[in-house]
Amino acid sequence: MRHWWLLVLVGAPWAGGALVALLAGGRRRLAGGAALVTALASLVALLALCLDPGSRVDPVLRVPWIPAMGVQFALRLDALALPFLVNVLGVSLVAILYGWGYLLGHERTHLCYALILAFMGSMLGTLLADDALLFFVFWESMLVASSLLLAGWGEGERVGAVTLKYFIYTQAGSLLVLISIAWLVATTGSSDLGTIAARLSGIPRSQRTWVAALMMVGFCVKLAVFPLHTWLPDAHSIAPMPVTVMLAAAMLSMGAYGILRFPMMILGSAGLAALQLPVMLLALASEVYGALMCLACRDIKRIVAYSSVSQMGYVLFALASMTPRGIAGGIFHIINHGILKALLFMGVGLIMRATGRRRIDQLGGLSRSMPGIAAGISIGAIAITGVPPFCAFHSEWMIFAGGLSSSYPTLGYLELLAPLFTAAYAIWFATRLVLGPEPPGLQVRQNHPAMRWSFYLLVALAFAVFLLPGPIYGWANRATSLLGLGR
Amino acid sequence: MTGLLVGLVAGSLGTGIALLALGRHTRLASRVGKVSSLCLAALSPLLLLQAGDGTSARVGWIPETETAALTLRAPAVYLAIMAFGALALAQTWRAEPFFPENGARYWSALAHLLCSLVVVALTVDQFLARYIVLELVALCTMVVLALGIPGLRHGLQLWSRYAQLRLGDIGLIVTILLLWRASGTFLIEEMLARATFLSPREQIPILLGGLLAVWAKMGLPPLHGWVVDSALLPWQARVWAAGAALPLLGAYLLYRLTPLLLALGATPLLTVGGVVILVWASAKLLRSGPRPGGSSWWFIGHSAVGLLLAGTQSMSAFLLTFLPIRVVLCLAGARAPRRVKWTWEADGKGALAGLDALVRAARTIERHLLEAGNRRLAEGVKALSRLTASALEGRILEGLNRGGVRLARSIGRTLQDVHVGRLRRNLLWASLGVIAVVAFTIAAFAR
Repeated sequence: MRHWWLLVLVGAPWAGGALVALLAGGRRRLAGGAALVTALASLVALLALCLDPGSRVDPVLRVPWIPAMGVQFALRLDALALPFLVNVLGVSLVAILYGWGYLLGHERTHLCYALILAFMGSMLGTLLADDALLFFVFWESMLVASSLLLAGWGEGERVGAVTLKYFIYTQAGSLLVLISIAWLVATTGSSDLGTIAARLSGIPRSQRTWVAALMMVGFCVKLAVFPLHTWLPDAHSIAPMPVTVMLAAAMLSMGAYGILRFPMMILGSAGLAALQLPVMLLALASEVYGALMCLACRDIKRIVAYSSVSQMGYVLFALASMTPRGIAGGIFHIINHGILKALLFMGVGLIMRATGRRRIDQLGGLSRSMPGIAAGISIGAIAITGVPPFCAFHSEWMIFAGGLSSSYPTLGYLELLAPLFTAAYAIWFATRLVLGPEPPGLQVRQNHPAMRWSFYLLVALAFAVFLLPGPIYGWANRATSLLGLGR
Repeated sequence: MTGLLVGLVAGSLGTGIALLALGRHTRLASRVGKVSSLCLAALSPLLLLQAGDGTSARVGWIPETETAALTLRAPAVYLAIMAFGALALAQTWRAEPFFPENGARYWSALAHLLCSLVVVALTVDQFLARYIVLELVALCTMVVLALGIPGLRHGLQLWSRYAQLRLGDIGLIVTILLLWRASGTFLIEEMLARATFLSPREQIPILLGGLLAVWAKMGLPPLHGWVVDSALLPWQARVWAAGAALPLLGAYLLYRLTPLLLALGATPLLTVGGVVILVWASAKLLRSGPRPGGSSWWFIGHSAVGLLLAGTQSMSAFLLTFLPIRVVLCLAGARAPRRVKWTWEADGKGALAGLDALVRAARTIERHLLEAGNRRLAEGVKALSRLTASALEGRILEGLNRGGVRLARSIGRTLQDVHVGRLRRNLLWASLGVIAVVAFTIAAFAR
């Protein structure tokens, strides 16, 4: 019975999406409600898998798919996938809830929800795939679903151009991943991830390093680190807010998952050793560059988008530190980033909807006109700097500890300076919006309750994770233990 | 047992949170704040009866680190009592008028929150927990500055102050993580005891990180901009920002670093630094006169005395007199002519100018390198597509297509021609020939 929950976990969003697309035409509430129920079904399946008494063994589902090639429809829930699954499910749920209010004025809402569910289903499939080809199929379907969402429901005049840019960029990254997977399958004669890992031990280290490098570049496109990030600000700023939330808070983490699953877990840390220094330097550059670009922007949605470039730098630095605590910190930071980025984007969406403005120099004094939202967005901005009493504190100190214990402690010391840049844009952003003078003619409309309450839920979560970090520490540490780095 | 200490901390924290909720009811909040602070100050001397008497219940919070507890060791317990005293004094004594437009309704709440955090920071025995509390104290100090000095609220000015405090936090986390790596524990006593047995090569970065934290928290130059600002705050807030909060905790950290200072023989360097800062602060004080912010040089000079006394027997005396002297200095500042006007400090300007230059550089890279690269790539693809369209598609493939069509047409025409013209004629003759042959054959057989 256990393994069928895996099918429910991945299949519910796809089946729900198909039903919503076929049956909910013209009925917005039904489409939104069905989408939420579908996402909840996936959550129930995950809970059933985690709370099962026999959960010490990874649940696995294997069904022959392309027998001639030995390819199976194989799903496995292991410790590495779990924190990412929690992140994707949590973010998708709040994004759908937020969409109840945000998508009210949009057309073809049922199709939008259907694609959101397909997007969610493909992310879940990517995380659970235990076969390299199946992984790639889900990886590509993620791109297709998100591109259709951008093309169909994007806001602004440059929707076509931006969607094309997003598609080409991420497709180029996927191509590198495909080449690497093809090499792995051809070399080992199997597409099963466990078999690939077992048979790779005899392959020379130099070859493994080359494949790891190809995969790193491919996954770094999805992670949107400098200088492979230029698709991100454009795509995030045109996407409708629930989709932006999913792109920023959930999809970026797929890049980190890819790095952990393939170059680190399957190819082994030996293949990555030669790449450690350049990747750490790239991560540092991304942290500082993203923060500086936040200060250079005036569009509030773009500011938050660039902050993802900076935050993904922290994640990449943590992974590249190759220390158990650092990597656990990186995985923890993925969840924290999911909470805080969803919080900030939702806050920005609430401000944009309420005021009809999106330039920071046309906004200000929100502590008087929207006190609750202003307080929430201030908390999000402060929290992203990694200070207590908010969630990102835990992950940041683990990342710092990983950096100082790595083979390059000097870079660990430099990493400690990065939060200064984060603080620069966070304080500027919050004070300009919240405390600054109110610009003339600023009128504030009331937002839909679903938008407000999903926002407040995330504010509470940012605080709750700080107070009760135990479960996420546990997930992150168990995930790290699979990488065989030792403690 | 330390039940009283936990009760006092909880009382102060609870009152702070309740006062935040009561923010709009200013009068009621003011009364509650006064009564609560007086009660806390009156009860706090009872801590002396329990001084040195074990620890509170240990709290496990962050996995893979030791549990944390509050302890009543000297001199922390004396400093905690003084912090409660400062809270009561600031709440009840109107040394100068309130500035209600500057968020005064929140100051009573912030003072209670700060008091509870300071007491926890002084008495907690686990370094990571202390770091968290110190960060919270820094955050509350920035909130006090943002609410109290309107000029600081907009844009990046507040950041330049926060960056100074954050540098101190960076120093402290370096010290903590290096000590943790060396000792394998986060318990302060064990960490510091282990530090004295490390090699000088390992001790130096630990001490440098600790001193950076001391420098930032005590507001010593060049990290003093926030102390200058805090001198502009009203008395009720100033006593915390410039006295009982970060500066007191910085002085306490300096005191705790004494064994490491002695082990490395670094006290003469600190003495030199102390003398230089003292002379500089005196000169600034003489030049600034009674201007707003002038009293900040008293604070900086007082902190420099701490550097002079570091590693000596007198350090304990300095620590125990720290808060009373600061309170007196804050009161003295209240007598200076006052206009709430924010003055720009050179260090803040420098930091912001540097940041501005970096932001410009990043924007240039984004626009002229990355986006230009994208554009060139897109133009290249367009040119390639044009070339493909005109040359490959237009000439070769379309030419082949046209040729194919022409060939097909000519074949068709030939076939049609054959079918319509010659073939029909030939077929006619062939059919007639066949008929003739068949007729002759039948005639021959008939005969």
